[in-house]
Amino acid sequence: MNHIIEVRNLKKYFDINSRMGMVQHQVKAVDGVSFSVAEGETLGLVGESGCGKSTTGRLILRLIKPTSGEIFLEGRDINSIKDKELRSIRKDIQIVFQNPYSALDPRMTVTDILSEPLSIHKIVHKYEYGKEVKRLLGLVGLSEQDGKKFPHEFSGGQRQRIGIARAMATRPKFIICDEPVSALDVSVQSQILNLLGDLQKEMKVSYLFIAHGLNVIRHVSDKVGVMYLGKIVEMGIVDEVFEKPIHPYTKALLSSAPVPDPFRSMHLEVLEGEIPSPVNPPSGCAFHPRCRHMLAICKEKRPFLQHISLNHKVACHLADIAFEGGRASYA
Amino acid sequence: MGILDVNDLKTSFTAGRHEIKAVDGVSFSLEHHETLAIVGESGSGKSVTVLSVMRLINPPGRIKSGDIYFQGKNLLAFTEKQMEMVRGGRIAMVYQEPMSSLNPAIPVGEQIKEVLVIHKAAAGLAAKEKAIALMQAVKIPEARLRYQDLPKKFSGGMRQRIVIAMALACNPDVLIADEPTTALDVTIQAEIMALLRDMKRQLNMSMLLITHDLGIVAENADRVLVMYCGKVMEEAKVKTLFRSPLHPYTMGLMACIPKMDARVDRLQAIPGYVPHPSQYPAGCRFSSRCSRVMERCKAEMPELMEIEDGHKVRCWLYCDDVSERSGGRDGK
Repeated sequence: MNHIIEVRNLKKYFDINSRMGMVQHQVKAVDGVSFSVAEGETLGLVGESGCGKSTTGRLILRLIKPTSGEIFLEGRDINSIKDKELRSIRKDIQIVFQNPYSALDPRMTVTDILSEPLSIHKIVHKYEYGKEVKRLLGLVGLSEQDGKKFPHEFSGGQRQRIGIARAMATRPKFIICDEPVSALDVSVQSQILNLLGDLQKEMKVSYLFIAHGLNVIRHVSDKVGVMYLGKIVEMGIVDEVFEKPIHPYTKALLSSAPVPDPFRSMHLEVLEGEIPSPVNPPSGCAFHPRCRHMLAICKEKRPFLQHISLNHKVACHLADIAFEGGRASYA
Repeated sequence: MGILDVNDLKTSFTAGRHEIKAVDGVSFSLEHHETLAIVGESGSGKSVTVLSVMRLINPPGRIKSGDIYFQGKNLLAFTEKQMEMVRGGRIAMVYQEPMSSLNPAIPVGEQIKEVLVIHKAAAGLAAKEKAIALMQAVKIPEARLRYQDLPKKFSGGMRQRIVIAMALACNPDVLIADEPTTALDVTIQAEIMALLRDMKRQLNMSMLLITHDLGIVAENADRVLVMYCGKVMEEAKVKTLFRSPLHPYTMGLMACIPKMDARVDRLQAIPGYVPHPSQYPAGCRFSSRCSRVMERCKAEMPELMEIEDGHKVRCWLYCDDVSERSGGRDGK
């Protein structure tokens, strides 16, 4: 398979300094994450706030520098390249932000916003900016006249279309969609999700889709990674993870999402307790203080992500016991 | 007659020479012990409706007309002093963002106690004990030890529990929850909604639940009001609404949410955007986005009509033509 992006054992630790400027604590925001995304594929990352999903996206774009680990863009190691050369990868990797209100410069017209990446990355000749901007506007369903307007003249959904057009301007291979519909109204969400889907089919672009809305993740993703306190606890083909979740955290997450069906009997697996602080994560399996099925080993030993089927991996001691033996064939 | 009856409420804001009709003729009745959900997108007027009920509309906004009867008394005729005893006493409110409804410099226990003291429900040491009991009731671990902690020491979910404890302090008759879980993670959201359902049953309260999430509506509400651009578009019992939505807007909302248990290639979408209040279309306010728009919709605003027992809709499709009406139901 042709991987556009491959990430191996990616880590980002943030230092928290005391008043004296000494390193006091480390927040392990991303702690050993590995995955790959193929051409035209969407990997969904889901998890609660503070689980490290947005940090993962920012690391791939090199908006922040990883503590350790490797990131490959079409086989080329982009983690070790110098800051000066970053421009060459940003043409291929773009991002769509959550809040379309703060992601656009209020003093630039839409034409200026869309021309900037064209000139920085020398996508087309200067004389063709006008034509290219028109093409981009059409791509995301805006009219040519909209190019003359400023961001404040648009609604949230339209602004997100501008954000998407800007990301598409450099003709990227990989787009990080960081909660692109979370700030939008329900009736506008589906328009934007459809637009992202259409563009993917047309341009063969790959997405890393970060969201906390489980139904959104289910809809857009081919593969999904469930994150908890900086680690991926379950990963696999989206249908398999949603229909046969193995990790107790994934199960709890899926059952706590409210379902718009009043005829369904509620089978709530309410999670006890709060998300622990990533400054001081629990020992062993980070989920053990909230887990109903905790074993003695869970407090002591960290479980690793292991295959339970060809396209499904879980980091849980319970799964280790249940699927023992059946695993060797996938190793 | 319900515990809270709102009749033809109109609340407007003035912006320069423009008048923004945030709530434009809303009527509903909250029955005893029921949960009535108000759903709508941003700008639908759902929050302004409940802020009007609490008489918390400040200039440039004002309640232009209408009546708000609470237990038979018109709240709009109350003095500010009388209103202060209603707020937090008989009608309590839980807001979306817990951090902004707590004072960051006062220990949480003291903030709960303050409610009891102001409403003369308890005083002195008894008030403190009652506050601790409330913290225990909303399941704050080690409540007595945490009485003196400042809000910053609590997580978002725990803060929302404190806000709920404050709201419940005086055993209110009506609890208004305005997007109580929107700022919270999904597992925490499930816990908070479970707590609210529990408390409502224990204290025999009636609840007005404001949300944009149809999942929360389905799991919590008895009846639903669907609002769009300051108007009620549809009103029904929750099961009726999900089984046979009548208004094209309600149908559109239900069709466009991605499902958890099945995948589709393309989502259905409502075209266009929620119009700005200064640019509402003439006639029906949904006419600019409606897939079944008729000439009449662009000219005249339909009334909210009762189609069958308790099921009301504001749409010309159901006005006189019976064949159109059944077509609408199949269209679900």
